Amino acid sequence: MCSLRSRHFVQGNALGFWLVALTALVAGALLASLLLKPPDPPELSQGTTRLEPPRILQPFELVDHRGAAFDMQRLQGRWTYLFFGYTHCPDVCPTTLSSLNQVARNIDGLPGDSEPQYVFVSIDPERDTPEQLAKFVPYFNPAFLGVTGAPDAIEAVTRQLSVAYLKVEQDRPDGYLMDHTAAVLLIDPRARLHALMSLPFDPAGLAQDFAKLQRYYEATL
Amino acid sequence: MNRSIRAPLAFGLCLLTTTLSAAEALRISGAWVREGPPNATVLAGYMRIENRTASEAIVVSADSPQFQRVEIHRTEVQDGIARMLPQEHLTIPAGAVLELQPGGLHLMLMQPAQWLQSGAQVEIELRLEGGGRQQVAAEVRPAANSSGTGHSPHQHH
Repeated sequence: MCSLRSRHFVQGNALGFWLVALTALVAGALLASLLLKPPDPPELSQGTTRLEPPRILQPFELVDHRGAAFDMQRLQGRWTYLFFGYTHCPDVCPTTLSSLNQVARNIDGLPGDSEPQYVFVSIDPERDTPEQLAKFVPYFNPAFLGVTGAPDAIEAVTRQLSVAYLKVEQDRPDGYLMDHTAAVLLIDPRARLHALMSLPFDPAGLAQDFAKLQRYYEATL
Repeated sequence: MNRSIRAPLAFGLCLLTTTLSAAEALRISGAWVREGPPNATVLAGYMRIENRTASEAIVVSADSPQFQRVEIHRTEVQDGIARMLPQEHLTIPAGAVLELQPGGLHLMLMQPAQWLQSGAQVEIELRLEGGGRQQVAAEVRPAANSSGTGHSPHQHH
């Protein structure tokens, strides 16, 4: 009796059942798409540009100021700020290095524990030996790293990062200047060019941008 | 100082020596040099130059006993590329103020005789067109002060 009645019930309400099922399915799909929808890209400071998609880099071979190899592996697993300059630079490079020191202090104050590394890449390898960088770069912050290399190795890495530089001879011995890209680049933990920041730098704004970029990166992994 | 007294006074001093006339012409304040790493081969000097006279003042060169050579430079950032442009001179129009500051005009101080740490004084001499000279005492300050978010270089105005 019981089974008959339920069979009758099922047959009589077949259409209703499917309607309910379909509605549930659609609602579920909608809810899922809402929940799984990637967050909106972060709103960043005026001078900060996020690359979409991030640019994949080709292997390179440089050397840090302690004499250790600085290659792709050194960019894996953490965020890296890259800045290009030279030690015979009185105005822009020291200004940027001290701005980056303030960025580092601001980022240190943020919640979370991911600490980016800060790398000054010389575009003047002729004069900037690892020893010269060792006395120059950590002065601005002991954690900052100076990187140099063979001229063609520097060229190989700068070309893929769209960083330009040019030697400008002066009318005095050993006195050439370098024109160079003044932007700071941000490399993500998968060693891809993720964002670039142009002058003038606002250390507090850059630290906020870093927090937003990092959050967005982790939410969209 | 009262302007009506100052002008004849300046004129009188002008007659005495050109050096004094130059000192009277330009008022320099907030002069400072950014401290650099011990092995820095170049430093930058900044200052505010006020021309209180009724005629244009031109700084043709600068010198310092603590550096091998001093040049006048301007940093320019164009299309994301920073370049330093050596300047022939600095021109301060009558009654105008010229700021030498990070990212712009600056004195490029080359080959320091020794490491200059914060608190040290740098003696700079500006040479003016017409033969005038003006002494400037610039204070060495920490690099962190240069980025604009720390203590800004003090100014009297």
